[in-house]
Amino acid sequence: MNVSAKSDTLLPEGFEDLAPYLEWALPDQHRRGLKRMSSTFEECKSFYDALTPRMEALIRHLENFPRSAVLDPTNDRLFMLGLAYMDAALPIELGWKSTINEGSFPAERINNVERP
Amino acid sequence: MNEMTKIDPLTDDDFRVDYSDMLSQEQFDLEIEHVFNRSWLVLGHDLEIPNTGDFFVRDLPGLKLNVVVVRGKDGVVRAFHNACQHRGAMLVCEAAGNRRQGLSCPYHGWTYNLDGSVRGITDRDQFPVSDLSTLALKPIRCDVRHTYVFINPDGRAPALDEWLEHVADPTLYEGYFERFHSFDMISAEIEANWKLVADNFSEGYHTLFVHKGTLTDYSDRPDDPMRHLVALEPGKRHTRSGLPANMQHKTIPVEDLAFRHTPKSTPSYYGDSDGLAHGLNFGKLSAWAFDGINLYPNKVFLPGKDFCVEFRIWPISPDRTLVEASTLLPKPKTYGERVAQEYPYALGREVVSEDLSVLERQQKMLASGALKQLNLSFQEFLLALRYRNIRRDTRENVQ
Repeated sequence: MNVSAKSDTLLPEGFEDLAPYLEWALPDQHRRGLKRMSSTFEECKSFYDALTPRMEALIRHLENFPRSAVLDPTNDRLFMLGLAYMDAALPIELGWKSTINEGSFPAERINNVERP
Repeated sequence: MNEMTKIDPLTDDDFRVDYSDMLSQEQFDLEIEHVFNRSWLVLGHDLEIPNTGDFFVRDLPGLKLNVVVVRGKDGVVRAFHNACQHRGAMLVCEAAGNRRQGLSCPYHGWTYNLDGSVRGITDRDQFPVSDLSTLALKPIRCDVRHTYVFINPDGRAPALDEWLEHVADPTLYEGYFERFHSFDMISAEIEANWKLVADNFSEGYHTLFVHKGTLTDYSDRPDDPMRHLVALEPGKRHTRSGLPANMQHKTIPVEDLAFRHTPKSTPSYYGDSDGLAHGLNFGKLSAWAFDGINLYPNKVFLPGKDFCVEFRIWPISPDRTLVEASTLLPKPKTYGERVAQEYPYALGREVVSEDLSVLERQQKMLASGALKQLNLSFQEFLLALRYRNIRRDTRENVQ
C-alpha cells in the first residue's frame, strides 16, 4: 500500500479519486454556474457520471460538519464539488440540449447575491 | 370570496385591460407618484438584521429612493433616507453590515445614533444651528409584519394594519419565516415595464410552457392538467391563493438525493401544512403545494411547508425593471445539508431565468402597439385586480 504524505491532500480520505474534477470546485455560485454553462455537454456529463455514484457518501461525509464550523481546505474542496454537482446535474437529468437552459435569460445579466 | 370583492367584484371589463397608454412615461410617472409613493412596500425581512446595529441598504432608482434600514438599540427597526443631513452625502455605502456604534458619514465624519438622532457634528462650533434635532436623519415610515420590513414614502398613508386587509393578522405566519435563515437571491434588470414582470409572477398559466424544462409536472392533477388555482381569496388590493400539489410527481435522481438530506421543497411537496401557522394553506387543500400571496403593488411570496419563494419588482423606467427573486430554505444544520439544498436553489434560479426571458420580448411587442388590449382569463384574476387598482390610482381617483 502506498502511504502518501498527508501534508498536501487535496480531498478527504476516500474521495481522492475525485481530484481530476476539482476544476468544478469553485468558491461561489456565480463561478460555478459559469463553469457549467461554459462546459460542453460531454464535459458536464463526464463530471456528472463521475460524481453520481459518490454523492450520497459525499453528503453523508459533510453531514459530520456543523454549518457553523469553518471547513479545512480539504473538506472545503469537497463541499464546493458537491455544490457544483447539484447544479451540473440539471442539464443532464432535465434533458436539456446543452448546458445552458434553452430560452433562459443571459447568465451574465443575472446577479447572484449569496448569503451563507 | 372575500368580503371586499363581494362588495366590489371584478366585471368582465376588468379582464379586458386597455393597454393603449400603459407603457408611456406619463403613465409611469403617475404610477410612481400615485401607486409606489403611496403604498407600503416590502424591502426585506427583519431576520436579515437581527442584532443591534445590523442594517441593509436598498437602492430604488425608479422611486428616487435610497434607504437604510437599521435595527436600533431598543430593538426597533427603522428606515431612513440614506443621506447625511449636512450636505446630502450617502451615509452608508455598503449593502449590509453592522454599525453597532452608530452611523458615521464618510464625507465629513458626522455621526448619528441608530435611532437617527445626531450624535456628533465635526467642528460643531462652526455651525450656526442650535437645535440638533432638526438635523436628525430623515425617517421613512417603517413597520414590520410577518417579519417583512415595509416602508411607505407617504407620511399620510393609512397604517400598515389597514393596508394589509385580510393579510394583516400578525398570527397568520407566526414562527414561519423565523426558520429560514438562509437567503439565496438573484437580481436582474429587465428591459420591460414593471407591470409585465409583476404579471408574470402572478399567474401559473404560463408554467406549462415556460417551465416545461424545469417544473415538469409540479402541480399536474388528472382532473386538472391546466394547474388551476384551487383557493382564491381576493381583497381590495391584495390576494391570497392556494395551489395544489401533484402527489404523483415524478422525481429526478438529483432531487431524490437532495430530499433524502433536507426537507422537501419545489418541485416535490409533502402535500400537507401540519404544524404550520394558521395562515398557511388557508384553503385547507388536502394535497397542498404552496400559497401565493400577492401584495399590491409589487410583492409576491409563495410559502410552502419548508420553503418560500419570493419576488420584489421595482420600476426603474417605463421599459426597465429590477427583479429580485429569492428562495428561502431552513437553516442547514450541516455542510452536507447545504449541499443538498443547492438543488432547490439551482432549480429556483433556472425557473426565474426562464420567466425573465419572455418578458423583454413581450415588452417589445406591446410597445410596438401590436395590441391595444390584454385579454385575460379567470386564472389571471390577480392581473385583472392589479390593473383595476392601477387604473383607479392613476386615472380615476387622482387627487
